[in-house]
Amino acid sequence: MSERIGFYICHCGINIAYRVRVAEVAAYASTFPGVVVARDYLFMCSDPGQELIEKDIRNLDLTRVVVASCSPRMHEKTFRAACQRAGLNPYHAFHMVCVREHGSWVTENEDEATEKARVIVRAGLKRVSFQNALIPSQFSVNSNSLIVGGGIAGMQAAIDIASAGFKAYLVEKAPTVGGHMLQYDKAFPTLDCTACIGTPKMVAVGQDKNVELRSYAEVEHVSGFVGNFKVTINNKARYIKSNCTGCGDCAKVCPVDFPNEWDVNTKMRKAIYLSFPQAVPVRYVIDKRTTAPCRTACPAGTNVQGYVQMVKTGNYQQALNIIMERLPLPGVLGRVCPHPCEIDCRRAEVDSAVSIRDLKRFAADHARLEDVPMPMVEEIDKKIAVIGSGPVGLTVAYYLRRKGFKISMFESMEKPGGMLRTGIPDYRLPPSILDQEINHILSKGVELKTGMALGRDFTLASLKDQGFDAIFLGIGAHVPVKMNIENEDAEGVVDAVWFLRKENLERARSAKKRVVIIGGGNAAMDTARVAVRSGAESVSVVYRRTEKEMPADHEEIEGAKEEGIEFITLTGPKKVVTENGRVIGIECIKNELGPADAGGRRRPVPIAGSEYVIACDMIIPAIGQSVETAPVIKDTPFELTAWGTFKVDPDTMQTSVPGVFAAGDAVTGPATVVEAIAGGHKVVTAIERYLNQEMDLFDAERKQKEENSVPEEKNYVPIPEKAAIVARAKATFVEPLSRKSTFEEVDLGLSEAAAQSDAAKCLNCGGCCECKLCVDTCKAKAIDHDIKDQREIVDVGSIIIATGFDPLDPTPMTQYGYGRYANVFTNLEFERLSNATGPTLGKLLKRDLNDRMKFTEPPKSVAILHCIGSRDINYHEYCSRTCCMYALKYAHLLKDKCGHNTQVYNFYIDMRCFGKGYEEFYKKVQSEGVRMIRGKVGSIKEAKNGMLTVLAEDTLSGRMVEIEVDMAILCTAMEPRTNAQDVMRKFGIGIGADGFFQEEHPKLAPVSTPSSGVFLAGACQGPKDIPDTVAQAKGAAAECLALSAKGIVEVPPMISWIDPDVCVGCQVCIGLCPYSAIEFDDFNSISIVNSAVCKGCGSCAGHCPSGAAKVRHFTDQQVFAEIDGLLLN
Amino acid sequence: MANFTKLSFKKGELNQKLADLFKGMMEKGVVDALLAPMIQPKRGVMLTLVTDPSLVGAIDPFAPVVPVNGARIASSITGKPSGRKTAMVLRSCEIRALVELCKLKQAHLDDVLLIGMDCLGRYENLDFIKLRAEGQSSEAFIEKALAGNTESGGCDVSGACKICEFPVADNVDLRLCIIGTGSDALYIESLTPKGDKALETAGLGIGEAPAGREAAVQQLVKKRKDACDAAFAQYRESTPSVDALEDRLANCINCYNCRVACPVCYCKECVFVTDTFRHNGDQYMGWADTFGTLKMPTDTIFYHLTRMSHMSLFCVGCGQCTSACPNSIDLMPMFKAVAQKTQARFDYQAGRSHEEKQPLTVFENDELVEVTGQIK
Amino acid sequence: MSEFEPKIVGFFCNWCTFTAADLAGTSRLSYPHNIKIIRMMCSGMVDPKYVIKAFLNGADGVLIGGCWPGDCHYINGNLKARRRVAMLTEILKEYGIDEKRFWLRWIAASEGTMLREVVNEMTAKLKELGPSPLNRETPGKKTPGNETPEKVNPEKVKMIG
Repeated sequence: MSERIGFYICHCGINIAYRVRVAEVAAYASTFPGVVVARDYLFMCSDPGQELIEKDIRNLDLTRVVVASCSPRMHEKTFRAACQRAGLNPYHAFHMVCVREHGSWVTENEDEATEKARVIVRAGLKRVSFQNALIPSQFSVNSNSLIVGGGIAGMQAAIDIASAGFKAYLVEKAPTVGGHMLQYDKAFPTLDCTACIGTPKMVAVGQDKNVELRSYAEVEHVSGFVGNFKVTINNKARYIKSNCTGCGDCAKVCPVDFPNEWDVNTKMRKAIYLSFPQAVPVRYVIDKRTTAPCRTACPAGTNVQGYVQMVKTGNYQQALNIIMERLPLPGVLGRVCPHPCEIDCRRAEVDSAVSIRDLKRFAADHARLEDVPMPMVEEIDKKIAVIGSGPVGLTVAYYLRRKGFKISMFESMEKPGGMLRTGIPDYRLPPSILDQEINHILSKGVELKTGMALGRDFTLASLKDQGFDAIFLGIGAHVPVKMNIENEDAEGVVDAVWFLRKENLERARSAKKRVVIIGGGNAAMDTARVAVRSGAESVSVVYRRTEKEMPADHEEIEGAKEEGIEFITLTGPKKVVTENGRVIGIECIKNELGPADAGGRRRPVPIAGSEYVIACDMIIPAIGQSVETAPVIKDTPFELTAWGTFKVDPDTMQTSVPGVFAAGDAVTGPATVVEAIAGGHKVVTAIERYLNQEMDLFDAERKQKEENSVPEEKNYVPIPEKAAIVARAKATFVEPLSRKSTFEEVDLGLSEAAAQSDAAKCLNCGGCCECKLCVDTCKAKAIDHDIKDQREIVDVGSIIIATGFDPLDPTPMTQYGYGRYANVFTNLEFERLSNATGPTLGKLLKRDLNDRMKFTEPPKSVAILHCIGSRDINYHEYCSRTCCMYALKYAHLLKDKCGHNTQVYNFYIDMRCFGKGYEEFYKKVQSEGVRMIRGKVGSIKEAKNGMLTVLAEDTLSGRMVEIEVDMAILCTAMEPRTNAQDVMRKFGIGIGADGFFQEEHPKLAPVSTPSSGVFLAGACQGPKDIPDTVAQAKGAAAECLALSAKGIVEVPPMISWIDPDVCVGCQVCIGLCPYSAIEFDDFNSISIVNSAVCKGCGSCAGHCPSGAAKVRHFTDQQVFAEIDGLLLN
Repeated sequence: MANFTKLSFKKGELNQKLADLFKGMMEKGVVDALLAPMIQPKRGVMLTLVTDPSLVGAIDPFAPVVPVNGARIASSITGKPSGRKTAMVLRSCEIRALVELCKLKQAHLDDVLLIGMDCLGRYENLDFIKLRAEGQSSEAFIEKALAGNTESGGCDVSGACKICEFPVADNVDLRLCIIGTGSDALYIESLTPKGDKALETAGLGIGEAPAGREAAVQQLVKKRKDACDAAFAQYRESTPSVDALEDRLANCINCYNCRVACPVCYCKECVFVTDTFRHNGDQYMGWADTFGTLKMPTDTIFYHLTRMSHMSLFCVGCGQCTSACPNSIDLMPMFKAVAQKTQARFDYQAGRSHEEKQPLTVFENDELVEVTGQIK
Repeated sequence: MSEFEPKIVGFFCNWCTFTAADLAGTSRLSYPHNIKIIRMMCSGMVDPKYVIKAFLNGADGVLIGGCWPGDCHYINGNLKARRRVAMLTEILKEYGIDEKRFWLRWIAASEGTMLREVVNEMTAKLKELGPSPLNRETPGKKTPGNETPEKVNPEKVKMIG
């Protein structure tokens, strides 16, 4: 049967007819093969227009219908419905041609418009005959809805959906719902307080059993389609469980302060906080960032930020407790640690690093070791032998003891402490401190056996026999390294190791008159300074490189110089000059610096012929030590490294002998105390796992490390711009003269005031400092610092985007001095001032010129500047629609709260009081004596006394006006959220020219988007005031409810299918499909489209060479016909 | 490292030697079947599939003829694999096409021992039969061709072969080498572990590469390259426009033989024979109205241009299209010239490797910015 | 003889460029009538043979409009389109169809003005280039794009019933 086509062209009032000669086009169409009727009509989309079509279909039994009118994106649905009502399959019968948006509205004269219309109409008429009947596939709708954004829009939508009996997931990225509305004070024009009308909504979404509130959460991924979305939500870790009562005890003890985002930084909050008293959920949250750099820099992983905060707040005991979590010898490290933490301290970017080491010592000196709590653990019936009582041995012993193991510690010398005692001179580390801290460790039930040397007094075998379950080797590195020069063994050559040991243990005073020390490390400095104290007249340090390359700590080098020690650099020893076997001098050779070695230090190169002799009677080489392994390996074959240290697994620290672990200098070679302790901690973990048969945990960890090897980007707390410069706290030192002759401690540490003020410099890079005070104080036991982010996947049928807006930041508009001038406020800051929960508890006060967090007295005169960033081609061309009204509100509030004689000036461009009761409000405020000046402010200047001079043109009088005020308020524009692009992509919606989300149609579909099932509400779609926002939210909710209530959804049938007879199974389409909607049928070796997943993008059809893959309603024939129509008669 | 086995033969015994070789391979179970050019009982030489070792006697791989591009045959045998180990003796153009077909899941080489042979060109089928009738042997051809002369009795090898830059086959397990091996020896080169194993099981030793080969191959390739460039230059000059293209295709009758013969045109059913191109009267009249006259059959240029968009990225320049045209339209340069451009655009080369992804099957976010020339 | 009016066929993606065209309309941004739009769901749906067909039918230019990379409503259809366009350009060039006649452009839903600019630019370019070698209606014949329509008396309109 041949086609019978009906053609209809719309005048659209005059919108089309004023350009297109519609009758003529109809006439042209009527001559087209198959066209049995061609009409033009005033409004095709009107009911009579649609009836006209329906009647024709029935009376003339039309098989096809072509309507030429507006864009199909507008009325295609309308006319398809008409055809359907008249009994035709709309996809088979109907095609729409756009002669308005693409025709009359974009062409300049009748002829062109009419001609263009003829051509595209012809294309439509050719195409329509090739269309096929399609049946939309139906899917059931998941009746849950997702709402993104917990502002007033999101809350309202959630409440409406819930009250209809359906479930709503409300996702809010802040810790509380409420949004901007709850930050405001009063709402124009009725001036009802937003808290009074807003908090009930918050409570409702918090309590309604149909609302699944996900605060402090974000949508990460969305898949699926209308009625059947799968949404991945990331619930960020709050570190507070749901049984939090909101009592606030935790905040009282929290030492860390940050500006409160909710109060736009006009007020401080703690690291553990509630955004504002009425927050919902009433559940605190901990602000944790990337672990502070000081803590990560510490080899032992000490919670530096934690104890620094404790010192700041004077809680020295807790400081010590925190230190003792990782460092068993706080006083020792507070004195001798080379503090790598201070190198990474970000405070240095402001002025100088926090004096962390000195703070540690201060804490140790001002708190009681006895009061450091031991964990409550059961005694474990496992014996561990710790060989060596140096820092590493003590670490292993102490922390394994804390876990309940039985520890015996073996020490070859008479007193415990290893190098701490023998190697570090007393003026740096008083023995009393060392004894006190070692005794504390022993007091916890660690058995110590001194004078017991491995290989001499006992063997590993003997330990095994005594029933030790695990053995730790921490024998250190005590054997001097030789210089390998002539006469090295002459009398008068004593190595630093022996010299220091003698002096430290026996006060031997063994130094001769003229002493030369060889080396540039801390050992060399110690030796030199000890030599001074033990009676040497002149002490020289000979070092082969320059002072810059010296490995010794800066403080030590300075200290040595102060004590009159001579530095002979770029000089190397050649031979010891002797006279009848005694030292009389050392022959040295001058060096120059050559190219850098592997370690990056420049290599010293001897200058030929520069030899000379330094007269001296004692030479003390301090060029390093090695491990004495001989006595150990003689009865147990340990694997050693090339450097003669014990070979261990880098993670488990286990030696080649199972059950025997090693760490410290014996493994690393001479290193720092804190490095030894770090090794000790590894051993503690390893031995515990070894004894629990859990060594496989290490493999798991290694694997995990490899997997997430990507470094996570650091989100430290930003460095405040206005941080005051504070000088670094200096410890007091004993005068060189008085200290040279004694071994008394040189460094006297910090005063309490100095310590606290230096601790106060800490920027708290990591947010929460994990002092854990909150944990102890929380009666509900609701705090858990180990909670992790939790991802959940929820199924929903519809989605509402209600992500709101960002207020514009006026800082770049330097002419207004925002940020520089104390009393230039943004609208939001002013709202917080006026709000009862704000920084001034609702009083409108000026800022203190010197302290931005302080507020003084009410302003006597205020300038309110409209249109800051709105209606401004340099920022946003659009009007933000709310500023005029809240500006009037501010004027009223100022008069109301600061007294009627307060001068208020409104600088406006046009007043836009379009809403219900708005104009009346305008009149009311004017009647209160507010000055309205029509003109944009050019600039604001601040005088010394903080007074602001506002310069503007009064465009009505045409005169420039210059007004002095105490305060200026910038009514800033509403901006699209900075992450609008991501949101757009996540949900497959569009963004308009203004940057806000694009609604499907500006008039007829203001809440829907191109992605069916995804709707918009509130300011994310464009600037809106509260009434409009709520109205739109209710509209969006209605859209969701319509879907949920109907329970089924029709998905447009324009999706792909693959002709099984034609498909050759090359599977290219499978790779091209963005939705993995195509599967391969192995048996028939053809590809098959899963119509539930396919969205009809045509990636497959666009490629398939045989045309097996087609998109329904966009077949080759249909497109070809259209092309023919455009180009052929 | 070199991996060659020398196979010396007396004049006239090359095929015998090869027959023994493959017989051995099959008996020793290296493979269960053999696909190779064999002399047919009636006339001509055709690819033949043999599963009985005793029947490989008729093998004649170097016969200068390719009635069908073997990639198609290989595809039909392995498209749905039998699981039986098969040795396939093919030429470079066949193997390169086969590589593309594998990417398109139209062939599978898991059970295939792929044996490439040096190719000195092929005659059109009828010419070859004529020459054979006149008594030209494969050995004689090889000798002549290696000397640089392929013309014989008024016939010459196909234009495609004259400009083919791939006389030696890549992506194979074994290679039958006759270029630069001396007239009395054929070398078998192994290029993969599969190949090594095959040689080993077949009890063939391993030796050095023939001295002259490297140079000889390079020289031949160079000669072909130059010929190719010249041919393209000449072709582009002669066919710069659609006009010229129409002229060239003036006698096309939409028989689609070129497509049937094309080894990389892999569709089960070409879109040009589907309903999409079954126009109705109005349409024909419409075109006639517009253009005044309408040459029938229609869509010839459309067909060829579309075919280019479908296969030029895979085109290996074997020239079967030209051979297949009943109206002697020389299609090869037409497709090969375009192929050169499209493949170059994506730095792609049909048949070069199994790993290279076919350009239209993948895409990147930041690439080809010059296409739109827009930066956001 | 009136100036040459190029015929441009536009294949516009429904979500970005087609919407941009609607926006240009609602914002009354007039641009040359030479372009006639065919609505596609995605630029990745445009089969190269549609373009070839358009040129063979005498189009002087073809403009494919898609979303910017990253913004595709179907994730990455536009990226596939870009590869196909690159491939097809090579073929067309080889046979004298200048690449200046075949454009792919990213035009977002909000870029109505950009749409207008692109069409202006392309029309001007094509006027310089002159008719496509394939644009060859028989002289004197009325052809779409540049025929001057005769006025019709509405009475002539066929009305049944």
